[in-house]
Amino acid sequence: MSYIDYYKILGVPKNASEKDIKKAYRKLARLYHPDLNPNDKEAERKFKEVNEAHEVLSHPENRKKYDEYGKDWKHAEEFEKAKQQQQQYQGSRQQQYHGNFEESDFSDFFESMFGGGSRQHSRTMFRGQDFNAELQLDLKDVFTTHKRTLTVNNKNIRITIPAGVENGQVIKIKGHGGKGVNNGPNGDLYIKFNIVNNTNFKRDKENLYTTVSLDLYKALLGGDVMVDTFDGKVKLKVKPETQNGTQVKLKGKGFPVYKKEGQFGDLYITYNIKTPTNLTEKEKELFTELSKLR
Amino acid sequence: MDRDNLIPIQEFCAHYQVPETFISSLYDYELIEIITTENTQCISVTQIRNIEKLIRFHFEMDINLEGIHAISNLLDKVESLQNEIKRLHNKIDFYENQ
Repeated sequence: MSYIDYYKILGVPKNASEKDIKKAYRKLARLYHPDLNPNDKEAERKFKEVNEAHEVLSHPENRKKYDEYGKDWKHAEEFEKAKQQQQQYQGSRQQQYHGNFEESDFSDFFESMFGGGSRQHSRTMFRGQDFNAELQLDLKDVFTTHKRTLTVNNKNIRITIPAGVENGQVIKIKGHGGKGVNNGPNGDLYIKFNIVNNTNFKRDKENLYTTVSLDLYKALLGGDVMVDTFDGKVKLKVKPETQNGTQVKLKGKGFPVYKKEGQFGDLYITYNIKTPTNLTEKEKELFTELSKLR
Repeated sequence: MDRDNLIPIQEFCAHYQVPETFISSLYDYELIEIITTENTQCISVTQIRNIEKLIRFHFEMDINLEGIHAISNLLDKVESLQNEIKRLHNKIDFYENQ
């Protein structure tokens, strides 16, 4: 745990007035507030620093304690004992910003000097905190709509995962976040899906792509081939004289379209023609003969 | 619309301790939607999260309505760009894993 220079964080001199501190805080909060920087972890981290600095410097008692003992925070406890003999500070709290972020993340330095009890809010927070969770699923798992039970904060929540969810997609489960304050609504739970693809299919939104090997003779003369789709095998007719890299589309054999029940993307199959190896003398002879016909 | 999902503006403002004129102004700037049912102006519960954010912008960050309007438009763009980045990442993964 190291010393944190709250004056430096707010960019104000040590003799800054309360007005200057408030002004600097508002300026920085407008830069880093999570409402203004969605999904920006770095801004959130900076905002917490700024919030913590303001929490200390805007409060005369906290500021005094920090100025005296900040660099020597280990002695803060002695200060506490001395303070208990003095009249308790009853001043009103400065306004703190609120939002859908974790306000509880104060630094160890702060906790050591001021403990958890110094945080009070003059304004009521109505809505509970939003929770974020990540869920790893296989591509096969999201081919069909299914239910799954998750444990969030020791509570089991049964959620429906719609077919066709994309990698990185976030869904909101209303009311399963932190508990609201003063009968306010609960926060929401945001679940981010990390979808692992261990199949032979590549996915681009609702379309799937795969490669199928064809032997030379089937490619030249045509015929039937059994092809794996995501939900089973299908028999496919190969046209005579099919070229290497030819792509065919199997309509409706792709991935389900998100939240559009019964709708599917397409499966694109690319033929990879395998030429025979380890030719026998007879085969070489026949291929030579064939080449002479051209 | 289902009346259960509507909150009278008067009630909302009393709860959040904001003047009703603020909500009207948000409506004037087309930042929120107001639904009138049985001569009562209401907001939908689905908008609460957004309105809470707008309240923070104005009352906690001292941002005026013109600023909120500009910020809201920019945040919409940020969200759409973030979605686009996510889509492109998935596309890159698609080609890199080929």
